[in-house]
This record gives sequence, C-alpha cells and structure tokens, in this order.
Amino acid sequence: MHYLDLNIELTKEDIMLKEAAHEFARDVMRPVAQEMDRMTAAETVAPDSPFWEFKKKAYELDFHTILIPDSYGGMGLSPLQQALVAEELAWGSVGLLVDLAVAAFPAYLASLVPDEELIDEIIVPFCECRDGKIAGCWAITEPMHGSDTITPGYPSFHDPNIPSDCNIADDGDCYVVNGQKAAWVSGAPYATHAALFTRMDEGMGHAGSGIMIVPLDLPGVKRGAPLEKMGQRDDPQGELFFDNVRVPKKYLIVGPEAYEAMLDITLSMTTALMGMGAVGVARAAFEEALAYAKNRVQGGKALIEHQDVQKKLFNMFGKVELTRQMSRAAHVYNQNTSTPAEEYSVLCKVYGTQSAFEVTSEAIQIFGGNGVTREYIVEKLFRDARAMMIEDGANDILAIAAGHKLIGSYPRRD
Amino acid sequence: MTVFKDSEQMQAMLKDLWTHVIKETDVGPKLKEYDVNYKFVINEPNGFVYVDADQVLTGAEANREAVITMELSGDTVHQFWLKQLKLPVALATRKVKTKGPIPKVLKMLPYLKSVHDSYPVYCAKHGIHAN
Repeated sequence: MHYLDLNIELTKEDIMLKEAAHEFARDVMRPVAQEMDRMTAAETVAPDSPFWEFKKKAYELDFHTILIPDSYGGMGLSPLQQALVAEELAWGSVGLLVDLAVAAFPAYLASLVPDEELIDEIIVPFCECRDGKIAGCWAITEPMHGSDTITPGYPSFHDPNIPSDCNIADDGDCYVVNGQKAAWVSGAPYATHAALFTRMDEGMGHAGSGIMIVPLDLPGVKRGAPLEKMGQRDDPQGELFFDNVRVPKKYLIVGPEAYEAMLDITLSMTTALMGMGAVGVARAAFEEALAYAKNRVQGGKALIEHQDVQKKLFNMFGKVELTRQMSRAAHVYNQNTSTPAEEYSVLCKVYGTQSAFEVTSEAIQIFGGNGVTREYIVEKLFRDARAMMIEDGANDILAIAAGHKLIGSYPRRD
Repeated sequence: MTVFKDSEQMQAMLKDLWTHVIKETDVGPKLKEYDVNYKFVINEPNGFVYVDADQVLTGAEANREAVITMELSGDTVHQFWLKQLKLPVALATRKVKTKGPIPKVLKMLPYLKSVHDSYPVYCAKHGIHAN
C-alpha cells in the first residue's frame, strides 16, 4: 500500500528506489518470511530452505549492498535512500532486513579502510556476489554480556572488573581469538565472515575492545545450533566459538585506542536503522488493521464505522508517521557528520520499537480473535516487534545510557 | 614542533599536490562524476584548502561551501596522507571531523590512493620531512 510521503523533495530516483524495494518486500520477502516463520530454526538454514532463494534474489537486485559505496560496486545510496529502502524491506520482513544489513557489515567496515587487500578480498567479492553465499554477521553479543557491550560512554563500559567472554591476543603477525559469542549473532549459522567486536585489553573493560573482520573458515571456528525464538524467526541466529583462531593483522579495523568512539559511530547508524525497521513493521500492521476494519462486520456494521476503531487507527497512524520522521531525520543527520548525535539514534530505536510493539498489539486487538491466529500476519508482526525491543540493545539499558550521555552532551552544538 | 613550518608552506605544498592529483590522476574525473568537492579547515598552522574537479584554492578564498568539509590539524594532514593514521581511527578519535554525506566520503576513498602515493614526493619538493 502506498502512503503519502511528507518529504516533498524526494527525487524520481528516490521514489523509484522506494517502489522497487516495496515490490521486492511484497513479492519475495513477505512470503518467504511467513514460510520461514513456521519452520524450525534448523530448517530455516537447511539447503532446501526458501531463505536461500530470498538471498539469491536480494543479491541479484543489490539489496545486500545498500550500505556500500558504489565506488566498490555497492548501491551507493544516500542516507535518505538508505532510510527509504530500510523501511520498505522491513515492511516485508524486519528479520530478513536485519539479515541483509549484517551481511554487509564486514564489507562496510572494510570500506572505511581503503586497503587494497581488504578491497580485493572482502568488499569486491561481496558486492559481486549474486548467489547470497558471501555474507557477514555482527559478532558482538556474548553469553554474559548483551546490552552492556553497546553502551559507550556509560561508566560500566570502562570497568576492568567486568571480564569478557571472547578475547583477542597479539601474537606476532597474527591476532589470536579465543572465546564465545552468544546465540543472538544474526547470520552466524551460515556467514562467511564475522565483524568481530571483542576485547583486546582487559584492563580497559569493554572500552578495551577492537573491531576485526574474521573469515569464518579459519581453523578453530565453530558454530552453535540455530536459535529457536519467539520473534524474527526469519533472521537465523546462532553462537560462534573461537578456539585459538589465528587472524592476520590486516583484518583489524580499529583497536582499543578508538574502539569506544567507533562503536558510537556504528551504533548511531544501526540504532537509527532499527527505528526505520520499526516503521516498516508498524506500518505493515497498521495497513493490515485498516484493511481488515473496512471489511470485517461486527455489531451490524463494518469495524471501521465504530468510533473506537477509528481512534485506534489514528493513534497507530500517528506512531508510524512520527517514528518515520524522527528516524529519517536522525539517520540523515548522523550520516552527515563524523561526530554523530547517537542519543537521537537511540531515541529512534527506543521510541520506534516501543511504538511498533504498541501498533502491532492494537492491530491484533482490532482483528479480535483472528488476530491471535496464524491465519493472519499481525501475530507475526507482533512477535517481530516484541523482539525488536531487546534486539540491538534492550530499550531500558539503551535509554539509561543515552540519558547519561545527555547530561554532558545537551545542548549539542555540532 | 609541527610538521609544517607555517601556513604558507603548508598551503603551497597542498595546492601543488592536489593540483597534480586532480589534473593527472582519476581523482579529478571522479570528483566531477560523484559531484564531490572538499574544504579542508586546518589548524596548527591555520589554513584552508578547497579542492574540486577543476581547481585548488587556498587561503581565504578557499573558505567556501563544500560538499565535504574536513577539520584537522596540520600534523594530522601529514599523518593521514603518509598512511600513519587510518580514517576510522582519525574519525573516532576526533582528529578528523567531517561534515557532509559519509557515503560520499567513503566512495572517494579508493581513489585517494594517488594522494597517498604522491604525498612523500611533494613533501620532498617543498622541503618537508616525510616520516
């Protein structure tokens, strides 16, 4: 369903891109996502899973490179175009959007370092891949650490008494990785490369970490079983284990000297994109509820004729629109400065996913008993939205950390 | 002790370097193709350098609107072009501050190899120690 875009400065290219993303989301992502939602986690990554057909089609259309500059063969989208595409893809399936986004993480990080070996080994093959077989994952979460690993600037981030579950040690011409990343690593069951965010200097706490690209065919890498979960069952997740994995030093992007600020820059992008993902999920639920309310008769008249339903729909519409405007603005702002205002991106994630949860819940309420059956997509959207409130940092902890940041950063001057 | 003796030396050297780069390498055509121009706002010593596909300006006339503005010190200029400082580290440690679309910053990076390659040559030409 098309919606009125309040941005009157969208170009023809922007609109065409948005429409192409929507068609892909409608015709490919949503049917595949609904099929995967009914499969076991192991089945979703089995050779005959529809997931691979989705990957192949997404890569053929270059949707795996929305974050990669066109000078390397990526789509080279503007920040606004990234936001437009992210919303549409999330409308089709936020789980599959997350899978596509993390698939690009190693290549995106490599694009920050114009090293010819990394360009030839990591970026170009990823951009040229058409069968979906080259893919990354974002390996940051750990069994004993989840949201606390993504709170740069918060006091606990520097606490040396908080040990890590995964460590990088310097050993001559290589770094050696030992430990474990937890089961919520999107793409881990099948990824070829990991964007590993993990500890290098225990004395600095989480701030003493580094960012490294790790080819997952190196000796000593093992994977856990795909994770069974309530929502986003179309985003395959699993553990990664590292047993004396020797990684050549060329794969280090940044070490502890710049890790905390680099994480801030990374999160300013990912949390704003989570906001855009929330818009897509919420919009999908709102549109389902609106269409249903026009057709479903209760109490002798269509649901839409009941004032309470009209009020519910207006509140849902408002949450979709407000989250879209905020998330686009924050993403565009932060992608136009190297000193991002991360608290605004966190606002997109926290407010946006809370709104998506409320909108999907209201959609179920409008559907009544049908809303809790698997016959209608709103129950899947509800489960997906619920997962988003924890994914990429629990909203509670992100809000605490961003609130702490406001003490020193408000009002920002640049 | 800063790498550059003074603003005049720094701006003259960077103008010479960038003029070569935009005229003799694929940087000029790529700046035009991607609709990118740069303004470097440099401190210690203070100076401005503006680069587009056709020209390089320095001093007050270089202090103009640009697609990408980069603020950094003279020593950071030197470290960056000598590949002693990676861009992500420079950005994260605020040694380089940018304004302008990050995707455009990133898309030009692979073409800036010729600036890295030529930099030591132009340091020598202008009597600047390149290490």
